[in-house]
Amino acid sequence: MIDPADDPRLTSYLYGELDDTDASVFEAELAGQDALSARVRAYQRVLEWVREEPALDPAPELDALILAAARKKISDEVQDRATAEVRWWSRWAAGLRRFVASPMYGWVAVGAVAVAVLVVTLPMVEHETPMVGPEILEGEARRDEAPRITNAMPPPSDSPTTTSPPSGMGASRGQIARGGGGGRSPERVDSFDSLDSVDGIGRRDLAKAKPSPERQASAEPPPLKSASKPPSNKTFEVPFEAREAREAREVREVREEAVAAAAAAPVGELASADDEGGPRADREALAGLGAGGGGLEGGRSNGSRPTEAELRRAPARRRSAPVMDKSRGEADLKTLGARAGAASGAASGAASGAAPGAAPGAAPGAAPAPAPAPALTEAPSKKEAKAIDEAERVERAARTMLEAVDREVGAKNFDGARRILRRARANTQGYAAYGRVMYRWARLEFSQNRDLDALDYAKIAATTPGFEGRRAAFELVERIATKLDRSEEVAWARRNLRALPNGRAH
Amino acid sequence: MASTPDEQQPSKEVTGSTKASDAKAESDREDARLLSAFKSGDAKAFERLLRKHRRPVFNFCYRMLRDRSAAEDAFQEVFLRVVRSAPKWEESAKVTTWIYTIARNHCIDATRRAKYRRTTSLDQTFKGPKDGEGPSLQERLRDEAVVPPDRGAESVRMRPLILEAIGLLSEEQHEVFVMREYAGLPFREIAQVVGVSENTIKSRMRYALEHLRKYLAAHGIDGSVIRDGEDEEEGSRS
Repeated sequence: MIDPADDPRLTSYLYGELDDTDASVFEAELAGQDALSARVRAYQRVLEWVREEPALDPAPELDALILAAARKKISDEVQDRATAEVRWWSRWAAGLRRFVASPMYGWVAVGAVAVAVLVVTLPMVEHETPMVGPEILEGEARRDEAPRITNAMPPPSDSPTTTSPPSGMGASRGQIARGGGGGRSPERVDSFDSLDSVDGIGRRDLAKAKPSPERQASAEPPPLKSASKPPSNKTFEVPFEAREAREAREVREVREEAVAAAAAAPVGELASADDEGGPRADREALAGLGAGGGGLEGGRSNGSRPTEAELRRAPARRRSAPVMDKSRGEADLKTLGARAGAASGAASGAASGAAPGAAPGAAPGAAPAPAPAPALTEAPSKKEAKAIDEAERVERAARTMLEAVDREVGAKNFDGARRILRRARANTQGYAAYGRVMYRWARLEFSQNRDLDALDYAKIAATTPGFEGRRAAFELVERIATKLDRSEEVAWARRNLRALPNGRAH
Repeated sequence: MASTPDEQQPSKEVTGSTKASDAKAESDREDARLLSAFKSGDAKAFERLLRKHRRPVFNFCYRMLRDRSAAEDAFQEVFLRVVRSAPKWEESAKVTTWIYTIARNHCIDATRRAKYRRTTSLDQTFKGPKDGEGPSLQERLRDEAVVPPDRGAESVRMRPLILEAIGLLSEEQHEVFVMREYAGLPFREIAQVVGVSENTIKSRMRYALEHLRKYLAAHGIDGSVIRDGEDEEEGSRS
């Protein structure tokens, strides 16, 4: 017995939403209940009346307004997509505008002007006041032990790394004061302090001061704030500008030499870490690496394999490429030039025949260099900072592209993912990012059972120096080659896996 | 029981239920395709979607708000929201459910803002055909009660009564009734829009129909059918 007030089938039946079986059952029940049948008929009549109400249409102009809004939305999105690639520039410009508009900008500008004034005026002051006097002689004697080029400009900032010059380098101002003994007479402390504040000790004051053995023994050196200064006018035998130009020229020559060596290296040599039976990366792929990629292997004209430690160091060097510290000797200069060459994708060996970080004693005319690597100035130059920014931008771009690939793969849009990877391969600069792109591509193709393509891409990734996932790439090569029953490539992958640090034992 | 054979067979819709559900499924797929195409930048696809849904959505708004200008504002706002929110739409959601959820929310907000009256006083006068004041509902009901139940003329006379009866539905029953009758949403989708179970929706619909039937019967409308049903019901109870 159906209670018409409670049975939900009644409504479904009225609206034809019961399937045929349920409808038959319900009709059979209806047939035995006249009251329910009458209720159903009454509902149907009510619904008929309701449905006789004509449907209304909205005003046509509303459609036009809505469609115009839709078209505008589409055009806005198209514009957004078109400007997405230059949006980073807009953000940067907006950030700059905000900074310029902020009150901090004024202070920074004032500070920059003050520093610039100091940088320009200090050497002039020193030129005007050459140090003479017996109190300098001891310092001069010490300076003679140092590399000859020690009269460089003071570094622009008070970097702590330059506060204690290594032994054998030019005599510091503190040493001068100690050696001369007359650095700080009690009656002149105030004037010296004021001079110290601008990173200089008054030469005239030093010259006037008498050497005093007692003070020499007891006086503590003033805290150093910058690299050593030339203690005597002998260091000005070569005009400073000429020396700086020479140094710059030498560095440029070293870099050009190294870049030329890198350019002359065969592509296969660049791509492959192991040539014995290993694959050759295609030239097109490697062309996408870009000149900015730091390469160790590119400059290995002797064909020797780099160690894994060297491979790992390469990107780090690129980021923290040292700037020239002009307080060092020519040997240091050579070493720095070599390192700069390595950082710009050149071979370190091509620069001076010495490995990076090697003792610079071989440099002509240089005094014996300190055994440990000197503490280099870490503050990057403008050019180096630009290179670092560029590297970070490349890194971000690669990461964004890989995230986009993941999204496309998640949406099962594999062709879209391939398009992005193709673009990434063409645009990516730097070995690490390139390796990541190729490894991702290999995984994609492998998941799509395109094993031959996957194998090629995995090989490229595995042999990309600087790519941190080489182990995984080699493992992928091994896996794909095993699937394809390619014993040579399996063996090659296993050999390389063993050669890698913490390699697997087979 | 005075009823014709075709009245005893109210299952005309039932026989085509499978075809109707297939057609509904195809319609849903087409909606999804159109909205996806619009998301991809196809303005024509949105135009087709608008043309497909403009009338039911507008009627839904009109029945909910009971004011044409308010309904047109709501209609425009609903589709503008659809345009703005299209990127957020996920293909797992039905387009109709999504649109009517937007429309319902907007109508509820608009109703609360404008404090539209959900009930009509029996003393309220109706506008005549030339915007003149007509008789009150009470007068009309009194007049109509004596009119013989001729079906053709009856429906014309019934229209304002039906509207009044619908206006007296509770808010919950009203929105279900409007969504089902004027927007054509199946009960499952109404349940999704309203956020209650399908059986609850069916129950609300049944109560709404019962309310309309009683309202009309109380005013002697089409007594041949409605009273007949009541008499039979009473007879079966006795």
